[in-house]
Amino acid sequence: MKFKINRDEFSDVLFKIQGVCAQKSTLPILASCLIEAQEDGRISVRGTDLEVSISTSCKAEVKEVGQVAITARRLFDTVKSVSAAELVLSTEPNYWTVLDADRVHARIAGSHPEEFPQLSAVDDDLPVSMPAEDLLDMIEKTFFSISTDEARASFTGCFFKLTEQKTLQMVSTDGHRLSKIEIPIKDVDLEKVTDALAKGVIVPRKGLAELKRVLIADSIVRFGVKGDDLLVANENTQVTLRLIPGRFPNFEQVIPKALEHNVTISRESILAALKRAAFYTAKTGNTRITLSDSTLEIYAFDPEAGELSEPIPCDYSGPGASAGFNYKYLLDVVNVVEGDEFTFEMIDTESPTVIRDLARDDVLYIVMPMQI
Amino acid sequence: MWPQIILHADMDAFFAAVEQRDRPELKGRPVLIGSTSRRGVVTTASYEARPFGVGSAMSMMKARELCPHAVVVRPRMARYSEISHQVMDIFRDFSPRVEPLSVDEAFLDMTGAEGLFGSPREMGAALKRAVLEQTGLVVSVGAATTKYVAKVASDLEKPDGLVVVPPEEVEAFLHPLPVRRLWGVGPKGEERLHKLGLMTIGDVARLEPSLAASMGSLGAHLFALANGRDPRAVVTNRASKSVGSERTLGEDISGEAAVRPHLLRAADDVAQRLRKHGYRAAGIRVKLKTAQFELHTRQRRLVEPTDVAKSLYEAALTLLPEFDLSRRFRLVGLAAFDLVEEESRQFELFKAGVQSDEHRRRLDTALDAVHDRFGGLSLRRASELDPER
Repeated sequence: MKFKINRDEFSDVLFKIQGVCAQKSTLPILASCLIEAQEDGRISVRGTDLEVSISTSCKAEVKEVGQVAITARRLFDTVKSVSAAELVLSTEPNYWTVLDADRVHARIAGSHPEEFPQLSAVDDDLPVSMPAEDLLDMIEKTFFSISTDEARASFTGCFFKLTEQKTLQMVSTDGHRLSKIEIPIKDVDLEKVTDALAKGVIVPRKGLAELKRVLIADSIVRFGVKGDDLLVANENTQVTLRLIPGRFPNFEQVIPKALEHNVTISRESILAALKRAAFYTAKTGNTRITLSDSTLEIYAFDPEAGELSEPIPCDYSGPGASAGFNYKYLLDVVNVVEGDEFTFEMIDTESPTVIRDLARDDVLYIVMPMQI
Repeated sequence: MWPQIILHADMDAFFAAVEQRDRPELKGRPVLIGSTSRRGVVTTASYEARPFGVGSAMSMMKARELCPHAVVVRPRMARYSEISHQVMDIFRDFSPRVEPLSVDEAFLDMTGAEGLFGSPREMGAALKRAVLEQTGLVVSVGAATTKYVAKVASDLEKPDGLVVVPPEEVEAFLHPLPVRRLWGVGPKGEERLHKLGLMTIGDVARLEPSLAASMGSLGAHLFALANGRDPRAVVTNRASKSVGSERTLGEDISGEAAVRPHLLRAADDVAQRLRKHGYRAAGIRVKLKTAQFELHTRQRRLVEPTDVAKSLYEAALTLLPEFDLSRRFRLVGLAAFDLVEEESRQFELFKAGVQSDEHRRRLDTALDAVHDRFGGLSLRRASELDPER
């Protein structure tokens, strides 16, 4: 194998697979990526952690077709550090791989390409198309409330469903809070949408993090569910995400109906107040929010540190209500709110509280209170 | 009345006792733990060696002269540390407030536990029994209202001692003892006190307070100790608190399916004790001992602290792939650590969901109520029952 390639382009494709090429794995070959110089004048780079697989490509001056598996991190670090505009990669017998860039001459230990796991090909038959920007936005709005608790597997991913009304719904929850976003999809071939995607699948957190890394915002992304995988394609990149088996909780039934009395508050003022209150919350993060006539009060108390209260003027005129919240959960939501204002719908000390972004009627957040 | 109850538990000839337990051929024989090199010293001498005048910190050469038939064993610190963890875990079954002083001794604050364990003497006896039953090792225990008196008491009737000093007997207990028994008095200090004509703790206690103060901070400290005053509380290292449950099995087992029910039983036990003491655990450790007595442990943190059996159990299951379960095991244990006191509880969104802690807690607290009334064996999980019977 031998090819000449633009350093920046090569660095870009190598960057995309870094997240899945784990340094520490029970299977050492997974620290490697598979590089293939193809007849069509492109090189492809593939990496996998067996849960998420990424295949990406770019053009190159291919002098000799061939394949090699090579440690992804070392290759990426080397390519990124050289200043040459172009570099040449070639293999020697026993898969030693030589990288030449100006004065730099590196020989990197490689492995036989057959040691690299076979990855299923992503075909072109993906039924849903949408701007990658929209998908990235949906990931951003739901990512933070995905659980990291492996013991509750179905909470460790984002629910992903293509509805009959041609909307894409994404929902995440860790059991204490929930984020939901639903947007219309213009370009969908309903015939080809599999039952699994129509009923909803659970896409792992790790896979979504990788999508954030590899998707190019101003392009079109296509996807579909096939077997146990979600297949995603974007420009020259294909990603295969192993879905989480199991059932996502029935979230519809925990979303409260819109309340008669809600309060509209400025994002900026509550953001600053929450950050201040954080200095005074005990380890539990418990922060109390009290609604009374024309005021929303934030109060934090730590028996060892002290207390802080801050009444924020607002337009509220409903019945008084009070509840404790983990301030981190509130901050996570406020951080992704786009508008200058949002509404806060609090029922009582134990019921789900709904937060709506006034700039986005397609998004909804729920936070469960803590015992005060 | 005991304003507080403090136990000092000190393992008897700990390293030597571990060797004698692990190697039955050493039982009843004088054993010296230490390096045999020319300059090696005795780390621990078994009680069989002590009548020959052998003691800790003596040079190994001298010790072998005094007791030529002693068996010298190179120390296995990793092993002692492992047993030490087991012992400390047993201590923590008695009190969440355990302050380890070294690998083989610790203070336990048992204040308020009379309802559970009875009188201080009964507490000490129960602790000694638990350590013997679960590890085969002997511990000496002192019980008193202060750390200092408890520590002196545990040492007084070693080995296998149990000395209880009620508050009204502190003076009578301390005063006849030599000044060397004061905490902080070494050979040099002893000499100094002797020169001042102070031979017993009683002599120090009877000093004029102003004279004691003139001896500097050490004087004030000794004066306070000699009068049975020791304000130091048992200091718990929060992170080291744990609640564990383990069982040596009737016969060795192998494979995940065989390990699971034992983990569930242990999880039930641990969760029940967590709830009883008002703690939730943020970490969990699974412990498997092979038929060859090798101990394998794996641990992880939990995303949400819990006191629910099923949640502990599920977290434990996620650790199983990290063990080689094809081996044969003689012991299965589970411990919860990083305990947090019950503070404000986060409400669950999916109350009805069988996966939620709130839902599971209802079952567990119902079980607690049945157990409190009818005893621990009255209601058990079907999976615990032997299908053969």
